Amino acid sequence: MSQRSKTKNDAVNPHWPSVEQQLAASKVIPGSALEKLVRANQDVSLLDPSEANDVWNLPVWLRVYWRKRHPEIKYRGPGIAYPLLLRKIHAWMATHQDLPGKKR
Amino acid sequence: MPSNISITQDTANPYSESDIRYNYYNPLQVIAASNENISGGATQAQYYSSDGGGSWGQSSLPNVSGDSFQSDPCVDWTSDGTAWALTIGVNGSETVLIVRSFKSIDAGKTWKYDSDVSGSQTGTDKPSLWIDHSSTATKDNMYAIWHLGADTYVSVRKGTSGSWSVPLLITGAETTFTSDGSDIKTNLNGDVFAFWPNAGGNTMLMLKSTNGGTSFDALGAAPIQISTTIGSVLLGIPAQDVRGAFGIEGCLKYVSGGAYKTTTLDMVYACWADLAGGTGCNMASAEPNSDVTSKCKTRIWFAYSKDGGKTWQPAVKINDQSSLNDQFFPRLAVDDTTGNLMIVYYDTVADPGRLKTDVWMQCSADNGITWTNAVKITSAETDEATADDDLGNQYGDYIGLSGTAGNFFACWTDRRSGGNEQIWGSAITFPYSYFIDVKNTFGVDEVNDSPSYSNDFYVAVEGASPNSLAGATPNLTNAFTGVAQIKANLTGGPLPYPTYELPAQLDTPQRILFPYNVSFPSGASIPPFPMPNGAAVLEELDSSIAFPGLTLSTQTLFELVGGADPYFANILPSADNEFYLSQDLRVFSITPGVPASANAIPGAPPFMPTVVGGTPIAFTAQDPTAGYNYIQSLLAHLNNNFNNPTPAGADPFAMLQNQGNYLTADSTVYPGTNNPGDPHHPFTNYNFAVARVRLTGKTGESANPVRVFFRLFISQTYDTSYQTSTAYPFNPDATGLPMSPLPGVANETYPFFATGDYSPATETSDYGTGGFNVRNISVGAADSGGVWAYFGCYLNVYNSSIQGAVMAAGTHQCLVAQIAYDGAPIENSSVVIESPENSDKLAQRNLQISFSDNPGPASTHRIPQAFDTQPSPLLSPLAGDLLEYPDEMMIAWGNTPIGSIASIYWPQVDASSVLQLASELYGSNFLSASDPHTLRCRVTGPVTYIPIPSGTGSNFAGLFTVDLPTTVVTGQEFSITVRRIATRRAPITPVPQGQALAVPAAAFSKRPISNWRYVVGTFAVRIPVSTKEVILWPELNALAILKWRLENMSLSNRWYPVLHRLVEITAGRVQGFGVNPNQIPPSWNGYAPPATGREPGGGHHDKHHYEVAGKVVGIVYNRFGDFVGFRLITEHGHERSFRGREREMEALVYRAWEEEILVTLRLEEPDSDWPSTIIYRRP
Repeated sequence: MSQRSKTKNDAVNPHWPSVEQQLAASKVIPGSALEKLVRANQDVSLLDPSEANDVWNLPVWLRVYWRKRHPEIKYRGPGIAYPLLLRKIHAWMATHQDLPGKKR
Repeated sequence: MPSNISITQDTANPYSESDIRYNYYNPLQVIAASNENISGGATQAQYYSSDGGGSWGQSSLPNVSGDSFQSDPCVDWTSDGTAWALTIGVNGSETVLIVRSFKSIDAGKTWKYDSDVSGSQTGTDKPSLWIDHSSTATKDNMYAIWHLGADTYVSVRKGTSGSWSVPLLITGAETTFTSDGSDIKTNLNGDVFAFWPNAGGNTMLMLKSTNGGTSFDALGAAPIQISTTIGSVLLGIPAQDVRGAFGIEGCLKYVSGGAYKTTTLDMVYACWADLAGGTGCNMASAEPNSDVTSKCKTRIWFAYSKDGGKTWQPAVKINDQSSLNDQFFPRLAVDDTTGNLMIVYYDTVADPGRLKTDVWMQCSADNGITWTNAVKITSAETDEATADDDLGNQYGDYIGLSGTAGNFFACWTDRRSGGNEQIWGSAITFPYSYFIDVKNTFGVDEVNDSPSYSNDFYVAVEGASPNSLAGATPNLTNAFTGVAQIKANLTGGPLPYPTYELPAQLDTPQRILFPYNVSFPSGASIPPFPMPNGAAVLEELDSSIAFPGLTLSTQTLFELVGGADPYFANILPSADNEFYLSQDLRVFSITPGVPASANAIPGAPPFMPTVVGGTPIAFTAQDPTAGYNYIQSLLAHLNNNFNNPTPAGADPFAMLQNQGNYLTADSTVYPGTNNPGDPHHPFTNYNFAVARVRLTGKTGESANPVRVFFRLFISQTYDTSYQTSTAYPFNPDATGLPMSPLPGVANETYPFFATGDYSPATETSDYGTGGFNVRNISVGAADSGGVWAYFGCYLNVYNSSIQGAVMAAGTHQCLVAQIAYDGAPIENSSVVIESPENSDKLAQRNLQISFSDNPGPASTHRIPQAFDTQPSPLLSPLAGDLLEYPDEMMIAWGNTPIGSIASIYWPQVDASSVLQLASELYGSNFLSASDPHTLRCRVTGPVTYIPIPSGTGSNFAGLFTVDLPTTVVTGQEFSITVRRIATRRAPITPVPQGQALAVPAAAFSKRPISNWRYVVGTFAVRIPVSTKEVILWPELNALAILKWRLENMSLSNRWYPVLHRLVEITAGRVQGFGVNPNQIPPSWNGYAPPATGREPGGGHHDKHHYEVAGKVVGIVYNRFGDFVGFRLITEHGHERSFRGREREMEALVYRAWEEEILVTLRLEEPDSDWPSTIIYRRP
């Protein structure tokens, strides 16, 4: 089902998936560094409500993580855009859940 | 149109998203790059070619410490030969994205990290790279562009020795949401154009720099709007809807730009994919996503500016089909040398399911105002909507295209195999046209005698498809249309009008031919024809073919020659015969032992056998003296009785018997006709050639002396060009012009005479004063304006020395007659290369007739034909103007059944080299290699092209074989013509119209003429289908003679492997007729059924045994000292081994060896090695 459908209600009260849902969707292994990262990046207040239902197909935790990592990026709406490369990073993280190269 | 090629060399992993670039300074060098999408993360894949994209190697960028993987490839070259690549170095754990540059100093084979491009930025995405290749001060400026969220940045580097500038922000508040998908280009003035999508504002924007990228305010600080857009940053379409759990719906909507500036033009271009607009498709939410029935679809949009980017024409959809299909991922390239544009893109139009894609191409030669209909580049489609595709990546985010100096090369993600995604590519031909001239020289007398010429020339179009051509045909103009009547060949053969290289592939770019007839209804009017003995006149012919989006023009020259020269009228108007069967050269045979075939024409002097010791030589024996006497008396008869062209009906050639028949005249393997009274002693056949020379003029006009030379080529061949250093050597007369013929280099041509075999004495008796083949020809008062003269030779091919030295290569040979007249010598010019194809001084018979059986097994439907081929000249790759084309075989299949299989065996040629050439030239993939030296193709349409490889050494000995289906029936006859096509390689400055070549060079004022192609020569194969009863006897003769030739040929002879295979095939045919080919002994004068006491040339056999005579030269003992056999040198010089065991045999053999006794061995079978009898001959 397309993720692109939006409702007015969604824009005001976005339905963010739960942490458990996020962990399952990204196939996170319990106890991995990725799980820690997912749990540590749930501050949805950093996100725009429209992101609950946009085209990027990126998990909440990755969006939050990106926002934190790149405060230099200024977002000029409508909507919030992410680099297409983030989807590849998401796929890479899912296969490197020990997150090599991460500064601890 | 070249074939698709896999650029990726690793099929074990998926690859997608690619860029490609020619080295503008050496277009043979091409580099490309793509993502490698392995789950562990990979560095960027790099690809390199050094032959213009014909073959590829693969390497990769090195990793930079801290990077987890690389992505988003782009490549280019600087003028010092350094190859450059950009990529995003990604630290996956830290989400650090840095644009990095890499360089290669070995044309892309190996790479080194160079530096970071994006400064301190760590959130970059989607870079593009462009390097200025102008000749201005900004040459080698390197421009990188990328986005960071909604912002777009540019960094500049001044060449290899420079460093990347601090990223310059070029967008402002006007750009919102994202500017993902930017591009940057320059023109040859060094102006820089940055393009980007304003996804939030639904516009395409650009800025211009005229200071080498220092600032982008040449048109003001505010970005220029190229166009509004409809869809969002991603277009959701069924073909790439859901890119997996980690993927994103849809295709990136990026812009691909270009620019072209001259003294009169200042063009800027942009294209992108977007929703098609219109009802139900004019907002982002209307995108089809996964709905294949959605009425909303995506199209390629294009816009241009004529004023350097200041203002833009409204964007248009370049291919807005009515069907529900989606187009995406366009890439635009501008050829700076011509200004031509090309766009490639994916389109699902060929799939009613709207999922599978092909790559399509459109081009423009008028700066983007009009576009050709789309042609399909891919030879197989890709489906990324299946369960096992590379989810998350699929097609990637873009494809690549590069173009320069008339060459274009595209690359794309391809999954035709159903396995991993790979990067495939193809050179793409920008459509063009040229002439292929068969005959572009005409003489006054020749035209007055033969005013009509079918299939005289072709207009060829390359790079268009049948659908893109849309029924357009050439419009022919300029001076030659006023000289001759030119008509499309709509009804004649051998090729239809038009002829499509790939008739079943209506959207695939291919070669398309339009054949034309030329006629002179009013004869050779003077002018424009020159006066007799006047200088040749050149007349131009132009072709223009206008099809949607493009008009192609080309030119050629026709040469008109005058002179009351002696000539051949090669074309018989009533027969409309082909050039390879000249009407003024006839080959025929007589069989004196058969009354009905004993004489060439009624009333001619009879064949008189030589009397030896009071007894005439029997008609079953060879009598060459009588053969020479016969041709001499026949020529006298013809010259005395048939030298006047009028009255009508007195043409002796119309009365000739047994012309061009497989069973007799054209053959060198049919020495005898069956003798019903004594089958063991066939009647001897005698082959002759007669040429008729014409002289037209007023009473008293003469040509003195006129000689005619007769040459047999070593095989059928289309390489009959008049080259005196190889095929047409001669003894010169006092003026240095031909006086008598000599054998060609390595006996590749061999002269025949009317008075004897080749020797100095024969040359004198034929061509000395009063010789039989030299005559004074004059027009008498009673000759009604013209006279005929006859010349001829006895084709004494049935002797062992000729069979061995000259006729080795096949069963039929090409015969050429040459008029040698000092007053009109044959001369090649820069416009015309003389050959029997186009000269009235050369005539040819170049036809093989070979039978196919019906019914019968497949082996009897296999038709072999030996042929000779000169290597192509060395090529200038990418040279343009047809100089990069090798010579080609053009095989017109005529009525040969579709599905027949043809093979070309070239033992001196690597078949893979031909396949490589073919993949670069043709879209067809019907050629394959059945072994390292044999090409194979299936007959699928009217014509097949095969490139001839280049070389500087000997000719390529070849065997052309056709396997007909076993469903052919008796009575059918198939005709195949094989032509060689070459490029006229001597560009000349044309003369003013209608003026003679003698006009001084200062008068030449027109534009240079383009090169054209021309037919070098033609041979033909005619295949009647008949029955075993007709075919078997000649086949046995052929096998016997071919076996003998093979036995007597050196292994190092270039024809040996061909002859070996020909013997195998012929033996297979004989076997198919139910005869054991091993029972046919080698013999230079053919096969006769076994008869006691007869001694044919190569062996002795009686009714039940075979005999071999010779001397014992060795006795063989095994390790135990037991006698096991002996060796015999035969009377023909061959050593054979025989076995034996009995002590009595050992004693006999020992005595024969010791006393050098000539012995005869009797064998049950010709190749048996266990003699049944040993006969001591008188020493």
